[in-house]
Amino acid sequence: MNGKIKVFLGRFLLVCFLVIVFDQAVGRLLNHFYFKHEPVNHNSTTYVANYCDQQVLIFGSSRACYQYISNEIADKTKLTCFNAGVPGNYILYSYAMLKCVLKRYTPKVVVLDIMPDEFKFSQDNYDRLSILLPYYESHPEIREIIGLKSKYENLKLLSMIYPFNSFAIDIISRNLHTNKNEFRPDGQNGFIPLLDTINQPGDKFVNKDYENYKPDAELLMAYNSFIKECISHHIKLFVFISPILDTHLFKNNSIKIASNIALKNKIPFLDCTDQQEFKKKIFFKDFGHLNINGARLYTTEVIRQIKAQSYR
Amino acid sequence: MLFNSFQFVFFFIIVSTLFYAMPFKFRWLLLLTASCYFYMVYIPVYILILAFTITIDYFVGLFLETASVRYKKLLLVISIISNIGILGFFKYYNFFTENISFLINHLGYKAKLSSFSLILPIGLSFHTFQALSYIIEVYRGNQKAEKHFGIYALYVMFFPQLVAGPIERPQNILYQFYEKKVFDPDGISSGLKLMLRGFFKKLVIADRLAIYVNAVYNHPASNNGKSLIVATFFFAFQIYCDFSGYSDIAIGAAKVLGFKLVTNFNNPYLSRNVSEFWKRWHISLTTWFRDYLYIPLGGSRVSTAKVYLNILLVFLISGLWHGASWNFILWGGLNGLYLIFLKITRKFWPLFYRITYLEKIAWLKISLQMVVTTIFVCFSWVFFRANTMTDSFLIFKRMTLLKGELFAGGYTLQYCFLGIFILLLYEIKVEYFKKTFNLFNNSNYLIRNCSFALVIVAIIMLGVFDGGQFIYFQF
Repeated sequence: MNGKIKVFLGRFLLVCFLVIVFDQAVGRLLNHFYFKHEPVNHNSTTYVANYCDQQVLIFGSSRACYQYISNEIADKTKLTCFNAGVPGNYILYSYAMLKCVLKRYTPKVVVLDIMPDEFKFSQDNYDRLSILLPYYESHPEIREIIGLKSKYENLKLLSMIYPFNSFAIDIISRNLHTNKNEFRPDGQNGFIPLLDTINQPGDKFVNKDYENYKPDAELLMAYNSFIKECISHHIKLFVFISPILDTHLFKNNSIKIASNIALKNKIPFLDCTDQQEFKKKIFFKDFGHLNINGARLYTTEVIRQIKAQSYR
Repeated sequence: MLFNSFQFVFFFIIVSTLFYAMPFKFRWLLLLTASCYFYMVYIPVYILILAFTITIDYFVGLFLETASVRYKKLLLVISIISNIGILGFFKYYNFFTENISFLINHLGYKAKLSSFSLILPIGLSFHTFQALSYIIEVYRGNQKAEKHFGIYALYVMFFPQLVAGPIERPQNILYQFYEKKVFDPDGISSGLKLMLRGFFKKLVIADRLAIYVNAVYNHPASNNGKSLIVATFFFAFQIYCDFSGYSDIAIGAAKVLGFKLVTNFNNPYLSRNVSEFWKRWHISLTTWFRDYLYIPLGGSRVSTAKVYLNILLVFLISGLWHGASWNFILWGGLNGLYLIFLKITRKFWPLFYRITYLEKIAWLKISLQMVVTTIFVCFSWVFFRANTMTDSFLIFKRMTLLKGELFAGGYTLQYCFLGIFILLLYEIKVEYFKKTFNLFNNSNYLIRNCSFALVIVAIIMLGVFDGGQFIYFQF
């Protein structure tokens, strides 16, 4: 029996050793090529975490990325501006990025664009934190946020490959520059314009859904912490909820909660979900995203708000 | 407990270590306790349902051995009613009440039968069928009734195959619980390798394909024909890798503990016709239906018309077994029709191959047969995956609209094709080039071990770790 156990343990340890060797080798290779490419056009996360130095930063999801024209904000405010919004990533990601930025410098103005249902629980909010995994090693300040992904995340991160899980084709493509569609347009400072217009019959869109949910504690905490970090660093923070095409008969819970917290902390808060001037199809790519026409109009409003608050 | 979770990894290491460290006479108790824990991780109270049916079937089994012919039938009916009754209540009650209400309303009367919102106990259809096969085998006299209550409970609850099979026969597994399992490094290694193959299928292929399939199938109206065709093709491999991956992990886990479970899948997408497909797909269920339904109905020893009717009936019931919805029934019925069509045209095909000279080009003939079989199987999967019946027909309608770009979902499309390519490469090698260069069974221990280490690395690099449950858990 003992002999058999030794044989088995010998085989097992050999496979474990080989896995560790391959993991280290492949992991280092992936790490090298992930961070090798030029950051600003290819990966906004790397740029914001490691390089950006703009005075105005815009955080949020696709609704930030497609709707805030950074160059126009820079022109009108005479401050440099970068749009750090990333599609499919919400308050947890924004908070992590803010923490990375604050490790290096303090921007003057931060705009946080949140979703009308920002605090509604969704497993996706946590799963999508995988975008931050490559930064786990070099940015200890965001480890706590990455830890929210799952309770075994720290264990998984013992692997050198795991942070680049599902990035292999992405890394190859970026380094070979074969697929340029994914890259952000040069000179737009993070903004990605949407050129199409919604193709939906009808003119008025009414949403009668009523959702009464308990806000997700982690998302709420991230929002609170985001505000507190900005206040403690004397950053002028603006919280905006950008326009949507359909009119909601019932206000989403998250809007009320976000507004109350902002009010309590004396943070300018603007909810554009009900603003009638935006409720036209020509301004939208789809129900939740302004196209370039809508983005121009909305950015003017954002600039007006920033200027009004800054000169107060 | 999910196989693809850290919780299971820890659980399995602890159970396996204790199993070999423990004296033989207590091992059944350890496995039964572990199986109860494994099951109770979902909804603990549902263990009572299992306990109820296990108790009934245990005593029915004992009485069946000594009862007269007349009472034997009564006992069999009691057992079948208790097992099918529970399955029917949890799985089919709402389906039947909804349909009866619809029918009554359609006839002009007003009626709304009440429905329940109960969560289906995990793997109910599987352990019900496993329990039924025990009772039927004892009734037929092919199996002696199990005297040890704990061992019988373990037969139904053995954790590797508790929630999604393979559906075991008592002749194959019961005696193994009495065998003293010795620590066998070769057996354990081969079990772990099988588990690794299962994890690769589940995490690298099935869960990746699920991302694409869900994105397209959940919004059929917004997707064009190209995307819907690709998603349907992907779903065929998603469900295969999901379920066969689960079976591999189950069979591998049992093997680590020294138990041999039946093979459940045998490269089904390399089948040359739908009939062969069903001999390679979910083998433990197909043979269950063959032995306990098709043959008792008369099998192939009745008139041609009755044979066709039997085939259709078996497949319709198989569809219903998979889920309480008309989609599943249609899926089963369609596959039954495929088989009937094959039976009707069986004399035509050799002639067709002779006329087209395909008979002389074996590789082309085989490839074409595989492609055509896969197309027919994929066609039926539309009913299986679509969220509603309306969606199924919408998908078929939209499949003809080939204008517009193929939905890519970032790099998901590339990962999906890569996964399917690796799978097919492996299966073609196993099926047709068994004796050529072998990585995983190479005589050189370094090549062999490096191959397994690289599979683990590939899982870490390409696997989806936020994926959900195994699809067949819901059945």
